[in-house]
Amino acid sequence: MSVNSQVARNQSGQTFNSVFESTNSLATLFSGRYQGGQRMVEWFTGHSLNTDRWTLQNNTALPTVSMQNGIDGGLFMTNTGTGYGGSLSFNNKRQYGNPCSCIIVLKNTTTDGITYAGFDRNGAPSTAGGLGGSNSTAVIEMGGAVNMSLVVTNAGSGWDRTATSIATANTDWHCVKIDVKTSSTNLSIEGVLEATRALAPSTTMQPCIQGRNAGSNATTYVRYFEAWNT
Amino acid sequence: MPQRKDSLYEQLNPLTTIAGQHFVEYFSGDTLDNFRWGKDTNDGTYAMSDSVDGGVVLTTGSGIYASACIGLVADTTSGSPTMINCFDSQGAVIQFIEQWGTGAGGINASTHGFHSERRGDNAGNNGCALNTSLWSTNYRLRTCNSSGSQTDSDSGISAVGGSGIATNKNFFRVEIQPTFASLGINGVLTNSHTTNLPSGGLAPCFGIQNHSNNGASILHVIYCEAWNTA
Repeated sequence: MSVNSQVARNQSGQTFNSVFESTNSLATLFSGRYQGGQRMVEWFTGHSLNTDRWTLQNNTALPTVSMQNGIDGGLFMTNTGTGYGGSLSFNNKRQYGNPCSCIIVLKNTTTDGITYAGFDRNGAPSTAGGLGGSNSTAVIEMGGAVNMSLVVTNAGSGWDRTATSIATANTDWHCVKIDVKTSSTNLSIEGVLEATRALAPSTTMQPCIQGRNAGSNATTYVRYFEAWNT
Repeated sequence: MPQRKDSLYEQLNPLTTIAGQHFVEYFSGDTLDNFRWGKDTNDGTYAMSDSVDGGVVLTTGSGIYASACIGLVADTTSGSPTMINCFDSQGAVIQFIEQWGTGAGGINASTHGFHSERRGDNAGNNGCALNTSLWSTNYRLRTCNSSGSQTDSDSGISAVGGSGIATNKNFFRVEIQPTFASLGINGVLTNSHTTNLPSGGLAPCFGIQNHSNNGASILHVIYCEAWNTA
């Protein structure tokens, strides 16, 4: 369904004048001052990753990426590095902050390789005092013994993991939504609220997809990433 | 009034749906997005138009069979390379806005839509694309199956204007399903057929192949959006 045709289908055949108006509330538009913020949509469709947007970040090893010559293949990332592995990030251009949200369509295909995706201050979800020092994170953790979980940290607080109902190995595609709110963070999978935590990152952050070797290489596929400030 | 959503994703899909590959290309900027699109650089030239609604301009060489073509595969100087075929021949839509430039020297063939190979002649294996050429006065839809057999169906809409190709702007929609392929022009379904349908993966491709030695052929591509429906 295209932008225009879906919008047209909504009601009465009337469409929005703009993509902007289709995703911003009336209160945002007409409150007397503009209250909306930055938005990013990445379709991961092309012959190569747009490295003007995404930086391949070497935390302990540089990730390798390739567009997949297969239906709905998206981008494939392999991470050989243990520890903090490697990431796709915005090279510390931190344009998103509390409150903010993101929707990601992705999968992790190796249970001993772990994928993290969402927002992170340093582009590498890590423990307190870990990579880059005090970190803030709001990501889904996919793979490993705790798959799948919501992980939240704030300005160097400890690794805070909240389990979802998907607690066993799962290598399927998922539609993941992370909502960073004023004092809590929510994780939804396929539209179902799977985890909520009374903790939220308070610092500025960047979109991030990280993989790390936790027994085998992390293998991550992603075909959509939308992020916006709320 | 249409309904606003938090995200573009939710305008296109419910959160309960794991969306397939989808992308929107506006062809607006200083240069063509060379991460997404690769070009046939043998004798075609490519530039963003410095004109209102100009999009990207594909210009062939002036010789017979000279081509200009863009698709989801890196630049090459020859051949018909296989693209990153992330769209599904069993269910996908591509829609685009185009305008032929003046000075068309006579178009032998053209590819506007899906194909598995980047090529301007709308031949080869596995394609489903609009074909405009001097061999037909009307816009036609061509499919190519996996062994290169072709079926053309006629839209009944003239592609002729003045002394050559019509240079008005049009909105085209090409859809491929398991049992038929269809073409729509400016919001009206014009034609479909059921034979020699492609299989496997497909990718967006816009290409033109010149015919006469009277000058180059020129095509403006202004918008493109594609998504899987299967």
